[in-house]
Amino acid sequence: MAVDVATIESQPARAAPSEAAQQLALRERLLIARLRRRDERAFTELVRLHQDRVYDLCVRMLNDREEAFDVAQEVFVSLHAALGQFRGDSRLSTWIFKVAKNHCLNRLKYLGRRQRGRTDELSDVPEGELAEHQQGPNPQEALLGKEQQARVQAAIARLPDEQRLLVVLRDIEGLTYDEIVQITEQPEGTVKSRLHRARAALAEILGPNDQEGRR
Amino acid sequence: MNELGHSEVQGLYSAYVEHELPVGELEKLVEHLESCDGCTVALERFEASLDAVRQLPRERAPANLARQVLRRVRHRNRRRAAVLPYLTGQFHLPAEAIIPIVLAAAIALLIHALQ
Repeated sequence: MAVDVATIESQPARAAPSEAAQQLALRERLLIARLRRRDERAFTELVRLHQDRVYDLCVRMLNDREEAFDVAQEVFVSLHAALGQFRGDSRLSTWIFKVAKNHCLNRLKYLGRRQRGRTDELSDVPEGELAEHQQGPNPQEALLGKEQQARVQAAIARLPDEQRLLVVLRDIEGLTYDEIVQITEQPEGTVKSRLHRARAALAEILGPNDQEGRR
Repeated sequence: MNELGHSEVQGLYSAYVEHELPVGELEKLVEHLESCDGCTVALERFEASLDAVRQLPRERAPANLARQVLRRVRHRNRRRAAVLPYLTGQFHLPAEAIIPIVLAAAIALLIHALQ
């Protein structure tokens, strides 16, 4: 039976482990054992279980779907090569996020050196994709929704890399502070103060329009 | 009297929205907000932008991502399998290939020495 990783993993850490979370932990143990035996089917399952979250992190960090697709592939190829190094002292998803974070930051440095990178604006969204994302019967409503999302994504893209990473991990991926500390290798106090600065900067960038949009 | 200044109050917004403020600090925050329109508006803006970020729809990986990953992994494995014998010294040339190479090298050395 497929278990929704994103839903379970976004639950607060202080909540008692649910039946589904226990199932996930057991399935993960088995998956790790199979991965260590270089079982290709297990690796395919690992990719399928985590690809959406890894890709989402890459898109948010790089603000470019093409780059994100390439980096997400590199993340999984690196994971495959490093399977023997996974000691199991953190959750598999935490380890995967850590590898993904390193790849994203490295790619950003590389792109920075090459002065590349583009804003993935509404105009870049193909019409078919826009229709796919329509949220209501009214196309104009859907367009406004897409415009708003593009505005928020553009605001996130303006943050410094380290701050953007924290916003993505906490406010989009819904990870716990314990997990974020393991991924970023920064003390919890630093994580919280940087995240606060990032959120304050976003509020500043998005300005009062966003508040009106919510009402 | 408010004990906290505007910047101190606004520095507590993350802890406030995550319900992490101890009661004492929460009380000071509420006292300040009750009498400060500027900080109240700033808090509304802070919450609104946080909501907007949290409501962003997740990006779904392209359908061919897993297939592309497996292709890259297999390609990498094939490359490693081809190079590994050279790196580990397990690769041996057959005698019929070694003899002409050794002869050619010897002739080249002889010519070089005679010049």
